[in-house]
Amino acid sequence: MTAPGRRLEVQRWVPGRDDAPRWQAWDLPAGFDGSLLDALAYLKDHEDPTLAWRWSCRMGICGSCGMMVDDEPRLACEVFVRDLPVGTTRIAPLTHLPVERDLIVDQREIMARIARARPWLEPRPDLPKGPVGENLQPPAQGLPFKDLSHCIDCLLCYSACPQVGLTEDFLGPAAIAHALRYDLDSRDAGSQARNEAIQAPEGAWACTVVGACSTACPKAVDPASAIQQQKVRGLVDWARAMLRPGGRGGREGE
Amino acid sequence: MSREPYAPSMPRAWFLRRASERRYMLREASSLAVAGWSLHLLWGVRCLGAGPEPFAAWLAGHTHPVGVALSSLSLGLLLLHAATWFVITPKVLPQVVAGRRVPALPMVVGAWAVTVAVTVALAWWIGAPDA
Repeated sequence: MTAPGRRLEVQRWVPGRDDAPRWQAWDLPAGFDGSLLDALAYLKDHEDPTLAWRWSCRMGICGSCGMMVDDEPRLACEVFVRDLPVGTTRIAPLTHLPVERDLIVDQREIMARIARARPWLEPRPDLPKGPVGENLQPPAQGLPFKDLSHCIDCLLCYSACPQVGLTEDFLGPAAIAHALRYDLDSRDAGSQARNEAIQAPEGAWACTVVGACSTACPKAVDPASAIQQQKVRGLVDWARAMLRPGGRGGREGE
Repeated sequence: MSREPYAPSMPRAWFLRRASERRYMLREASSLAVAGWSLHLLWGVRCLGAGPEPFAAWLAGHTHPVGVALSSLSLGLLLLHAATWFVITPKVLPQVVAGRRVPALPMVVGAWAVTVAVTVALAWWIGAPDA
């Protein structure tokens, strides 16, 4: 018995050709099995060669194929056609991002926000280095940030979060989770530099704990938790600065 | 080929789009019930200060059908507020402490246990069961 066919309604937008985004629907053949990514490739091969989207690894690692599937941000490679409801499924580009063409969004502005969180290791000068200059770490010290390090920058959390759409310049879930990943690293001395962006009004404090980022995250990073932890860290720093005579506040690299 | 990105705008009624966003807005709205009930209690204290008759009138308001309806609605929203708050509580804390994962469920259950214990203790202290 073959599975009933699904209909995909895809948001199209080709600059110079379309005045506004429009919906275009295609029926997949009955029994079509594969991921949504495979389905888009099928449509491109058999229906419209101009259909455009971004993809690379096909296995939930590269974070390229994020798109809205019936209003939920998903990785197209992790959505299976057999799991779609029988009938029509709407496919649209990730929300809150400028649409370059069809399902392709311009990620650069969001990537710049992530860079503002300084998501890289700023090595502590007092720790001994490995034979070729590595920053050594026992496995146990890597556990506190292990989940956070699984982020693949797919930006599903940015599309899931209403505050990204409402609060201009909100640093966003992934950026703040990245910052916590390095803040929790025993080899790192960059917390204070990161806090400039993280503890700003458009940093962690713009989050109202909708929690949609953690629901959308395909890697179980739980950015919603990371953001709340950053708020607590900011409060502790503030309290310490208040108690320290002549102190200016801010976290020391510790 | 020139670039001409399309910038989508946020719909005004964005919070009606998804069930998760509707639940979020209900959670946020429940804080109004908390504030409202607090003001109502303050009003009761003010009536108490004004004398026995105003306080008796304030108390009597609770047995009026409208008063019962408002109290019930407030209680429901207060419980929703507490429940959603307790679900968020574990998110504020580090997920790994001393090399071990901190499970969320005991924290949520613990928060409810403390809430129930404090409520029962207060009721006992005030003497509500005897009233």
